[in-house]
Amino acid sequence: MESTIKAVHATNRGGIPFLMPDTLADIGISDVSVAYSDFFTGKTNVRDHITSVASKSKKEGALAQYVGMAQDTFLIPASDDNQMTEVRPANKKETVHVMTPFGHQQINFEQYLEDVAALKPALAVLPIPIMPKEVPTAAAPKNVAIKMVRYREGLMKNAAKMLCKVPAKFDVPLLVPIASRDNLSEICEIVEKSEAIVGYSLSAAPLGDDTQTYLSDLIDFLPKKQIYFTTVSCPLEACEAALAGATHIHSDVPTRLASMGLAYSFSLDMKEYEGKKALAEDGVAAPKAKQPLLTNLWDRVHQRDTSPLVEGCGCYACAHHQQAYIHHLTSIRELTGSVLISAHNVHSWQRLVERLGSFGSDRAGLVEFVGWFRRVYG
Amino acid sequence: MANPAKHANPTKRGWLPYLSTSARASMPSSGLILLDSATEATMSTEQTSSEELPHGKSEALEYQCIAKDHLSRASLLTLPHGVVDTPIFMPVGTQGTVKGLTASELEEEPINAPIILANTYFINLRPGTDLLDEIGGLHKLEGWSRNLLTDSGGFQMVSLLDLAEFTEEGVHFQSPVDGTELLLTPEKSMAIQNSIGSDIMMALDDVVPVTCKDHARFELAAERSVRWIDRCIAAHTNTANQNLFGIIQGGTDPVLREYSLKHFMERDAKLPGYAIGGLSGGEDKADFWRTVKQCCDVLPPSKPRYVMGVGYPVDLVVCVCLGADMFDCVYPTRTGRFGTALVPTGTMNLRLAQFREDSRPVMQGCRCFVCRTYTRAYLHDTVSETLTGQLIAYHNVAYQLQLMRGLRQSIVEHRLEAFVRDFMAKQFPEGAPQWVRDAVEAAGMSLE
Repeated sequence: MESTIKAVHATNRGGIPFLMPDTLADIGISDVSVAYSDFFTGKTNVRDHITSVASKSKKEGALAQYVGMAQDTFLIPASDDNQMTEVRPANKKETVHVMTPFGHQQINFEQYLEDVAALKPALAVLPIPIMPKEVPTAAAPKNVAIKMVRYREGLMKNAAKMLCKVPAKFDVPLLVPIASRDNLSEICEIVEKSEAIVGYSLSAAPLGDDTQTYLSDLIDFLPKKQIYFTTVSCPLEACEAALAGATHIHSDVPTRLASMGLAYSFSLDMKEYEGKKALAEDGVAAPKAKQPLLTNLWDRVHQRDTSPLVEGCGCYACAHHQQAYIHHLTSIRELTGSVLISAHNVHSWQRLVERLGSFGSDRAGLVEFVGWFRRVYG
Repeated sequence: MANPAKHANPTKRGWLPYLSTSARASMPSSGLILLDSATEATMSTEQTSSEELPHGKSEALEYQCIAKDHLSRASLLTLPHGVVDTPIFMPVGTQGTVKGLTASELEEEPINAPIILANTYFINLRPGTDLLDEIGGLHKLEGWSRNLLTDSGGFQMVSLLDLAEFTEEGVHFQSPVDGTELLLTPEKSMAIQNSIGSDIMMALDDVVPVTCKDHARFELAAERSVRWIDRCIAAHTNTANQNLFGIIQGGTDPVLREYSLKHFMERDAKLPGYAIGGLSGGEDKADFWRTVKQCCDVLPPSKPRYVMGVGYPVDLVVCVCLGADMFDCVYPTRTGRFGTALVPTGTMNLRLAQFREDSRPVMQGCRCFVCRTYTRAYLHDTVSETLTGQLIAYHNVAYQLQLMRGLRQSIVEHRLEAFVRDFMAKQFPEGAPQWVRDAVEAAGMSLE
């Protein structure tokens, strides 16, 4: 069954770290994200070049073509959406200030819309500043608390003003970033009426007892549209996102972990740990039933291990190489070590999201799977 | 010989020695083909009879020259892990990997490398022979099913000069990793390479930086290398599956080279192949090509000739013209990681601003996925990304292997001179340097 959730892989300037096109093709990557701030702000601005190239080509998707991706390419404002901060009116144009790895940059909202129309990504997240999740506590000094509230109110008003500039119809589907429920009514009203805005970009909530409460509280409030979970950092968070109704799960963590020598060690085979479910209910044996999500290839325990990273994984690294080799490469800081672990991690992540999406409307099946995953790996 | 590749006996009727490996594979099982009269006439007038084409066989190696053009040769080199079409460029995987490239990327077109390198000294440091003995050799550890050549550790006498002390017994190294001491003797080098399980093992030789001014040191190195080859031969325990190549030394002194050649030829029966070492270290180019020619003129034609540490595409072409068959160098991968691509006109530094809006591929006509997928502009824009370094390194290795295939095909089709002329015209639009012209002329050809 085709997955109803897309795994969106973050890129560094259009490339998934360490992975060349042949490996991506083996994994079956379907969607990647490119950060607007990487290419189109500050001194780096290849907008005209890309659109010029695209105008000469019959292919759709100038951005995808430029970064060499055959599949859908998503445009996000910054490599970490959470870094978007205040809005300052400048020259009567709303500008969002962004902290990026290249320093402080500005994204002009109207220019962004023009660029999106020219670049034709599969989907674009609007550069709306995200409301901070935390509210000032009662312990904060009164003047600070008042400033924070006014700041937040000001942000949301500016956000609403910026959203009003989005045409009712637009060639590229758009998403609005949301972080908390505060002052969302005005935004929701605009989103509800807009055909151009097809959904929301949400940061995955930190895991905890109130995760589902937080998510459902927020999502239930929003008009029913697509939900793009951004910068999901952990397979367990991906499970939470799936339960919350994600249509897209975006992450850059698989390759970041690979660069540190950390490989995913989870299996998606529920039968593999079925026996251990009984153990989990036995309070004495319960801790032993938990399996690690990650394995550290720096650890000498892998030095002589001739088995693959994960039995039955099917990724390039597991099909062709042993843990001993990957440990060797990692311990001597060879680039190929990161390549192989990335191939494994991205493959694992892709399969996990596909699995989460494979349940479709089978809510009970998804709940059972997530429950099993939490029990084994939580 | 483990897993010998099968190929037709060149003396049988109907066997066309000029076909490449892939073309031969698609031939009917009878091995007979129909020739049109024009082709047959061409063969009868230009084809060197198969009896004149050198052929040599050792326990674990078979060398069959299938075509010659002037001094250069196109050959089939059959090794325990498959056939190598020569001339061949061998990508370097010093520590058990060609940096950033997977085994599949090396095996598949357009790279399709039949042999890669590893380094004895570094592999002995990490992961070490204990692990290799346990796992069954470097092929198994690395997941590489094709041929491996291991350098003996000799070059580390140059690259780790500050950490090495030379004696007649061997070389005392201090590990650059943890400072531990290792005495690398010819016996030790052979033992390590036996554990690695490489198809071609290099003898431990006394290597002197070619730019050294101390002639006495070169004399000592040439003499010592002869003494060490005897020790290597005696210590090599796996002749049925691994081939020991001797290394001709002597710097750029023709007298010392002659000395080295003479003494190695006396041991020819025990050596399946030869390397020309001690070059590509900054010497004058005239000395470089003359030394290569001197050695190729003397080395037995029925055995492969490997020029170590070459290199630049121009050097590859020149050495092939002079009769060399095998080459290795870190240059394509290293320069790729720093953003420089190899192209027919020389090099392309993709960091330069001139590529900012260049929507062409790196090289027109290149079959690699880098040239099929990315523009120069994109690679320029992302040149500081690790992935882009990998992409350019991949293209460079593919370029080198495609260049060697082009050379080989030109030898088979007896148009090497035209190939070299065309190649040099692109590399040097203002005219090739004198040393290139001299070398090509010495090979019986002309760039004019």
